[in-house]
Amino acid sequence: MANWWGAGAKPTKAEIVARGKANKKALAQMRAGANRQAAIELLGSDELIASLAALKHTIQSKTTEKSLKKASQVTRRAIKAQVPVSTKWAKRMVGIFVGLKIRDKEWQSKVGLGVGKKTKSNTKARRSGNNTYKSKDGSIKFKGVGISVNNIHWPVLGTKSRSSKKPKRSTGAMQKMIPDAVINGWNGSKSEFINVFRHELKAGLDKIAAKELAKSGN
Amino acid sequence: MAIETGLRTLLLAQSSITTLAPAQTVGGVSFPAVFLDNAAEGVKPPFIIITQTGHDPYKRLDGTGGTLRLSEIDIDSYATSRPGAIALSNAVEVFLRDYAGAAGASDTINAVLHDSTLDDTVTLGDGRDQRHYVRSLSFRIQHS
Repeated sequence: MANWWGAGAKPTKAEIVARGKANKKALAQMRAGANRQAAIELLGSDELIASLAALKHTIQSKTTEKSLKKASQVTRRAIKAQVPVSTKWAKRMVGIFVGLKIRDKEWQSKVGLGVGKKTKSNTKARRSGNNTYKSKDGSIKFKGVGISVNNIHWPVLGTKSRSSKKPKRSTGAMQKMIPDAVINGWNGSKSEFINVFRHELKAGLDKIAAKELAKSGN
Repeated sequence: MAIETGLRTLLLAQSSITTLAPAQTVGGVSFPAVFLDNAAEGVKPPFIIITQTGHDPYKRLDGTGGTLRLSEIDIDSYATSRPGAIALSNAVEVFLRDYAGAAGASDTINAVLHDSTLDDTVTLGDGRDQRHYVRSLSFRIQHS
């Protein structure tokens, strides 16, 4: 592969540093542009973005978080509605995450199978009761580990044929049991998600404006 | 008491539902055709299965727990034909739509919201010619 500086002499250390800085700046600009595009798509108008940006950081965060949570619930319901009847047990594993990731400044919303808080009910492995074997002492024991949020990706994506190391025996493959529930749920609820988000954000901003108005006494 | 149990009592008291899904006797035991989570072994469609898929207890503004709750409930109507499943689920939907009142001995339903409907089939064993037709209704029920 050719060097980035071409066929000429190797660049100086200062030139390398300058290039790094320029790349970083371009990336930040690109990211800001993408975020702005996403914000325009979500919020609809520059006016709403400006009103949100004018708020104090804490109030801005609270309003955004509340709106994202409400909107995510719409998508969660839509994803649940796409889960087939035969895999109904997976509905309890559709969760929501709304928050800031470490070192990240943008709010994130994530909805899907195995997302969100791990609770007693969704980490408890679910067993069909069909996958059993008879042990040496004659008692019936379960094969496998069951399905919980920790391995929900097995029935969602399917698995290849696997085998255990000790004793070496085939443990079989798993077919895709919940295909495309998340993507179909998201596609079906996208416009409603945006509408709910905008509505909740506007309602939040109106509430703040009313509070400020009451404080000022006008 | 759980809301599913209250709902089961309510559905079993409706003649429009029990006419379409009568009780069945398997091995000398009579099973009413509304079950929680799983149907009894040996029971054949038509029957109804109630499953709770979500539960959210409301909290008061001071952070303490109240008695008001929001539950997500799926009511699946199983039948041997698609029209049979639709007829049974229609009977459930007509009864539950906008229902408010007592559910069982200790629950009170305040509001019922119909979220979604899903038609599906459940194949039995490996043979694809043997199947049950299911219409699944998802409700959000606010109760106390």
